[in-house]
Amino acid sequence: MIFSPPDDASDLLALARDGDVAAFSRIMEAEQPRLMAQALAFCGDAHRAQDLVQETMIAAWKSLPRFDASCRLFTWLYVILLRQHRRSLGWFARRLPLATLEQQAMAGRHEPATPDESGGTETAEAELLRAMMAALPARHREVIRLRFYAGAGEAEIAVALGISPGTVKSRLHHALEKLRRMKEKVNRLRDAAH
Amino acid sequence: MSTPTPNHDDHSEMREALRRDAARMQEPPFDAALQHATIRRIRALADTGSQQTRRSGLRLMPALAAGVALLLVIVMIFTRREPPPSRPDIAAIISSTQSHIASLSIEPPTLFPAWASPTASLLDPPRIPE
Repeated sequence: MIFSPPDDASDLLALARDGDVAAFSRIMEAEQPRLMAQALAFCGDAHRAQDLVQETMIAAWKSLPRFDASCRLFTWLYVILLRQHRRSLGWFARRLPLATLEQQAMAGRHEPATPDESGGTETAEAELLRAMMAALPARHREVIRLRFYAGAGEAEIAVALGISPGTVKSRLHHALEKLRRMKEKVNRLRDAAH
Repeated sequence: MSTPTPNHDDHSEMREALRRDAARMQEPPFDAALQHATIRRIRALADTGSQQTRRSGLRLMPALAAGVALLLVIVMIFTRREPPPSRPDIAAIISSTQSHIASLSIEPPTLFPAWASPTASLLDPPRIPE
């Protein structure tokens, strides 16, 4: 599957692939805010998010000759962003221990979310969701982020990660299942705490 | 890894929560300073890369020339025609072998010297001492 960008963008992409830094800069101008939003969600800190976006753009520049437009540019950039983030965390901080999440639940830090409540509850729900995602194995977190946060389809994720569509489907299923079980456990602990 | 049959009912709540979270994300405005700093680093990388390529190209030239010269010498050595090996004179070998055989004694060799033979005393009549 080829995701053909508009002509103007594909011209810029061709120029950038040939080493035109100005063309690459123009492409990144369009992608930077979206990348920054995702980086802020990963890091929770503007300074670290800026570093992450910068490292992502530099890595993208280095690998641009290998980008074959078999997926959207943003999806490709998002995979780079995810991997740069994982690298920046180092070996020991890749997964938030589930025990931490459970302790937070016991302390009642994550309040139950109801749709008609104020923004504070929404923030708590988002915080819980992100904490649960941090407790997922990296391969599961990757597909969840690509599917729901980058809006990529299963076929596109398969291309971007270099795995089969069946594996994407399987990883998505297992990731959602783990998230569901975590949520149930957190709810049980929270109920017991109250 | 087996592909499970997705059960959307089990995960619909989770999917919905994830979609809501993604929708909540707000894009910050374009950060010109960040873009400028990033592009400056990329330009530095691109310049360093092209200079290194040029420098490594120049460094490779003498090595390449020496390699080609060596290859030429090897090719010249191996393609030089060597004289065919001289064939041995069969007739001369045969005649010398024949003369050598002729010069050999035809008497069968004795295994034991006469003094060591157990029957030698029987064949030779004893001499009566005078």
